[in-house]
Amino acid sequence: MRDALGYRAKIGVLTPATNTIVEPEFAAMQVPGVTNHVSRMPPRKRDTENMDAYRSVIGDPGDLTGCLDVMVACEPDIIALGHSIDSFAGGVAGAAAFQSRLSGLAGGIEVVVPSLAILSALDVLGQPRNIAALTPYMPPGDETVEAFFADAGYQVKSVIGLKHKTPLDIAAATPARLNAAIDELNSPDIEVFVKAGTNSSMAHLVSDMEARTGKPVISVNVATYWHTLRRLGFDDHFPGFGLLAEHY
Amino acid sequence: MAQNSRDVLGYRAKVGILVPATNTIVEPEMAALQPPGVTNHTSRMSRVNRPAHDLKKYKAALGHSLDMRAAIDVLVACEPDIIVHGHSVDSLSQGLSGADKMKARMEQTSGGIPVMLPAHAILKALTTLGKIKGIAILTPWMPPADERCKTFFEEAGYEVLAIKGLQHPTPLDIATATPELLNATVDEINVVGVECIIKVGTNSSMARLVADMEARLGKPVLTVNVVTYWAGLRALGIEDNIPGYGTLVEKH
Repeated sequence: MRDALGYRAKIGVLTPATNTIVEPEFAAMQVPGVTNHVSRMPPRKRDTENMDAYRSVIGDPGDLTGCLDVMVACEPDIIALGHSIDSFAGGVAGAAAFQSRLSGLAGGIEVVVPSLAILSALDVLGQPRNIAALTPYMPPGDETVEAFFADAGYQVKSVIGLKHKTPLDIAAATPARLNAAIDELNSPDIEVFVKAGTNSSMAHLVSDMEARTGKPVISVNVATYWHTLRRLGFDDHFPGFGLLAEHY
Repeated sequence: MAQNSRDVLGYRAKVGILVPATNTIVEPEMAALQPPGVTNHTSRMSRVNRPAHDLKKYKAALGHSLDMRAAIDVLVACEPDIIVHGHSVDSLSQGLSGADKMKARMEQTSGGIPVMLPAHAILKALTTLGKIKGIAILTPWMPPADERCKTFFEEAGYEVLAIKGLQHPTPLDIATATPELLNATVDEINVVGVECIIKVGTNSSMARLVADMEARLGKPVLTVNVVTYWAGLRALGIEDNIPGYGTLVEKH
């Protein structure tokens, strides 16, 4: 017998303990018959005063055994990682290895990681060559993102890291601030914008940003959720979150 | 940027939600109830340790069938304004004082963040609805839990005129309860003298059925996820009425 609400699929969602944006943004993108089931990762100290310490934890999400154990108990069909920085570490090969490690910890359930979801989004958008990246990170995080896209064959023409001090501060990033950052990044040679960092809320702004700039805007939570649905074999298009989810 | 800026989505309040590891219904039902500016933040407790095939063990686990310490720890990291408990059997199986103690214990673990338990939420709903005496109860549980639940409401001064446990063998099976099954059961327990129908057990999905049930029966129907979320909002001073989920949230 199928789940009364998640009768098409149940999506497991991993978020950092401090994250408050992934859950409501993913919930807003749920299509009929699909339900989301969140599990919180253990708190991860990211020292924003000491860049060596900050850099040293990138790529290492800590021990995820416990949060995956309580997640798989509800038998999700797929797991979406609602945390992006670690998935950019080590280039494309690093992301693929990270993804299979998580899937192994989850007893073989497929895992979608944000970095590779964004690459899939870039693929369907026709592989625009020049991208601009917006992040909530400190410079070592931005460097990791740049290296990832360079490894995947893209050129990061410009990047703005908002250098938030804490995860809770990331969640306070206003539409005004995100809009201004996108406008600042925009120049004639930019073909697409990518926003990394899952705890700043940009899903609801993407459509307006695309209308204003005339270019696609890939916001990480939208790309991850979109790719998760597509991996499940669902072709539902959902409106209000930009070109990607509406047309591809 | 100022460190005391509000969360950009949960700018009125952040509601923490505890669910059993196996639960798939609380999250989507409570997500659908979110008013603007309020966001839900879920944390998963341990697996349920209450085997339906062994009623002795089942009975022994009532009141503490889940480990919630780790789940509360990772939940308070996002600084919720309140924690809503998305699991009902434990708070309904130790009497009124047991529910009070459970709340106090959880608030100690949460560092003082208030906790709303289904047991307290349902009592608040019954008081809010006015002078109610005769009730009927629908559960997904085995008989030992039904007995405790009945005792809880009797101790609170209500007369339990009918109670029906659907005796699902596993938590995942509870989540498959169909609208047909729930509608038929509600009709069955709607005996003479019943003034209000209460559905407990957070992993069967009845939130979307309440409005139709109330129209059909002509009396209020309280379903635990709607009631607990409503009480959580009201405890925060959020008075929004939400349509589509029955009289309680629409009018009170």
